[in-house]
Amino acid sequence: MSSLKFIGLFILTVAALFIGGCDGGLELNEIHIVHAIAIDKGEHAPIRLTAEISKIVTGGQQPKGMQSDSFFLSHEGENVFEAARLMRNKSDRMLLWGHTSVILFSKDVMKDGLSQHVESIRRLRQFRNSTLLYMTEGKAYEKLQMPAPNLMITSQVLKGLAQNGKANAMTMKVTLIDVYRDYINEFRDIAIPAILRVKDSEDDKLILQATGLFIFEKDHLAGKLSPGQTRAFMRANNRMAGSLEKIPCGSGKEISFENINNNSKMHVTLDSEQKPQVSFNITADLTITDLPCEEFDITPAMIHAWEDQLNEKIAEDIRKFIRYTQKRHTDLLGVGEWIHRKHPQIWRTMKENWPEQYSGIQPKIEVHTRIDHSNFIT
Amino acid sequence: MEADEQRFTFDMAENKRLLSERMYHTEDLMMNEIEGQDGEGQITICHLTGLANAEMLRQVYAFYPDHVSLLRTVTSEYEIHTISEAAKELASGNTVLLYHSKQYGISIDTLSVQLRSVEEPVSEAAVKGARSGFTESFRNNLALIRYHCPSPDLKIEFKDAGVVTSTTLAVISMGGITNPALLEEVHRRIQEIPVDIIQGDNTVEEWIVDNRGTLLPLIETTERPDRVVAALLEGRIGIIIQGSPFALMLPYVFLQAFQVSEDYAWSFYIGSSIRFMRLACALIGALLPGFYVATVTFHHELVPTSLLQSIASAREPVPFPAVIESFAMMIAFEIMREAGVRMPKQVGQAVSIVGALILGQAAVQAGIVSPIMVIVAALTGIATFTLPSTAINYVIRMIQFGITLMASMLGYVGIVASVIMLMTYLASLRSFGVPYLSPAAPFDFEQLSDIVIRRPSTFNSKRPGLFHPLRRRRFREGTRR
Repeated sequence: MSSLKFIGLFILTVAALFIGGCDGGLELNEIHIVHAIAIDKGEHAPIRLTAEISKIVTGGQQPKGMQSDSFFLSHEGENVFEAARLMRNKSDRMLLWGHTSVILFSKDVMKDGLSQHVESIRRLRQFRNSTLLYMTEGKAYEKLQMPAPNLMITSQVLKGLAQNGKANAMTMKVTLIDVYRDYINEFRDIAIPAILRVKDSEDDKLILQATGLFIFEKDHLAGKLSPGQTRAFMRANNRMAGSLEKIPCGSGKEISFENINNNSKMHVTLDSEQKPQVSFNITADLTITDLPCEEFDITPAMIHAWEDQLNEKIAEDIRKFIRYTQKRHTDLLGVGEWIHRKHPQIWRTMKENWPEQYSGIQPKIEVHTRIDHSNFIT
Repeated sequence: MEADEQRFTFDMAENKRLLSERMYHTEDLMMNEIEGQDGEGQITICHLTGLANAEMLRQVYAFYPDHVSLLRTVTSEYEIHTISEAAKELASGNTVLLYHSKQYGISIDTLSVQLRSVEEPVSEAAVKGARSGFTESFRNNLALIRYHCPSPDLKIEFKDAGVVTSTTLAVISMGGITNPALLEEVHRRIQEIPVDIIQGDNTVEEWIVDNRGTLLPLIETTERPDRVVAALLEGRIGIIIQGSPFALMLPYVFLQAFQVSEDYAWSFYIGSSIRFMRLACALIGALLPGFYVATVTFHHELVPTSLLQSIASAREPVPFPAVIESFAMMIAFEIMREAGVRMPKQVGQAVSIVGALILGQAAVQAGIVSPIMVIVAALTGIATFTLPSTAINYVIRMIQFGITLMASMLGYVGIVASVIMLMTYLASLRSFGVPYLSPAAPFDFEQLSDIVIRRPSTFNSKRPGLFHPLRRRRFREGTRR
């Protein structure tokens, strides 16, 4: 009897394994890997979804990896999910969305509001938290289909461009979870890096470039930061790793500095009238990279003078950036969240007219630059 | 048989007839009579041609009794009284002297068989450390152990097993360290072996283990006398079987499968890292094919995109599911491994070249398997070869088939389920009462730290408590560490 029970249990277990398990498997030669998607406004439906899919190339001794060519599929739908499901009708294989590394939104689609898109994408479990977000003027799918100078898959180009922010602070890496976390928690307003189509000066070829940020006031698209404003934002927000700074040195020439280190501390306080006061304490280390001015000796006094000029320039850049955001009621630095955390009771009353309160802030900016190396022997 | 209990009589012709009859009139039985001295009368010298040492026999015949007396002092001898005892002595290669005037004979150890000399162990080669291994010579194997452990505490007890063969087993223990209860249990189990013939160490192992149906080895085997000595000093018991170049060591716990005596020949940093690497290799050996199958079938998201792209390109022309591809490669590897072992050494090289280079390359080019699967199969195979225990090596290779099958049905969940089932099974096993997974389960950090890594010798002040030794302290009192 016990052996019969054992056999029965064994059969049931094996049957459960086969019935429950095998269905979820997909062989690699039954799927297409989606690398990037572009979301635009559709002609016949609210959403047009375009997917960049890598071609699987066989033959040869070495696999091509990310140097494979790609092709594109598009479909329109009421939302991203529907468009993605209907796109399957055009595909000979199941689409694997889990490796989507970039989502490129068109500005037009974002005018309808940020939240609906971010939330619908978050609901689709296939997309990773680390998926990069970009925005572009015009048609997003056209940008996705642009040929890249070296890489065949555009998503790799966009992934590479996100790293540029470390060198020049003109763009920054923004992921799906960054946006979702800041938006849901209302920590700060959202900024999404912009992708432009520009002519390369070498051969007039159109290529993609990542500079500037699209900014939002809560759910609404509020404007776009120029590269200079983006740099000031990243410096004030303590997200800068490296950048280029210039100051004039007479006869229309400029001394160039490489910013090698930046540290920014923002302090938010409330004055006696419960009005917010914001101050920034910024320290930056720079090195001279180019000195095209007429010959002169570099003296400690001169270095101090340059440091003073840099202090003023950086403070003014930040001031301009904050003025721009104040005009657009966009609290990108999370000043409101500071007050919320430190003074939750006061924030309750302040919250309602926070955009106006934010607009009236006069920031105090203190910059301490230090020129570390002149990079000249004499 | 009637003659079995038949005692010697005064009638020598009758004695010879009974002995010949007992040995089924075997024609290599030589019975020659010589004249004894000092009133001993006639003596019949019996031996089996080929087994007895010719030089010793020549001395016995030519110079009796002086040399016989001399031989009696340097070799083991004892009195025998029955025909059956005489037959057994003769079968063991001894020479039997039957005295016509007395109702007994004596047996002199004159066994001499051409056996190979002490060589480096084949299955347990070491870069550093002792290089002597056991041979088929029972006497020599015991001598090797005595040589490696010149201690008066070393105790050897002889037992006979095998109804027909009466193969001699030596049960070796350390007086004052080995637990007497364990020793008694070993004797009891050996006593109960009912087989006709002890064909080798595995026959004994199969009969005396706690769980006879298990896949895993519950007794350790070794070719190295230094390992036996190390085991004895931990309170374990060694068994040497006549004719076998392997010694059995018991009790045995699973994690000991990753220990090599050479670990102690290097600094503890090197020893520990190598030992840890072996554990990692066991995991690779058991899990890698399953992990590969589960990943490319169920968990595509887990692989970095560029790697998935490369795997997808490589797998594109393969018409079979990953699990079939995996099984094909694993079976092909097993075939090549088995062929490599069975073939003569000179041809074995050719098998590996044909298998690894030609078959692997051709299979990839023909689109039957993907290059990544070749890497997985090769890495898995090589990883299992790092394991010092050949038995565990085979077991892990068997387990990998089961885990791969589960992985192909349930993905990583299948792997986790397999590992849980396996661990549960391992935890249920005992080796002479010692839990097979100890000291991991039941958990004992102190002992585990010397099994997973190689602890510095100066820290090993105590013997492992797993085997319940009588004396746990290793160092003298007050030893500075």
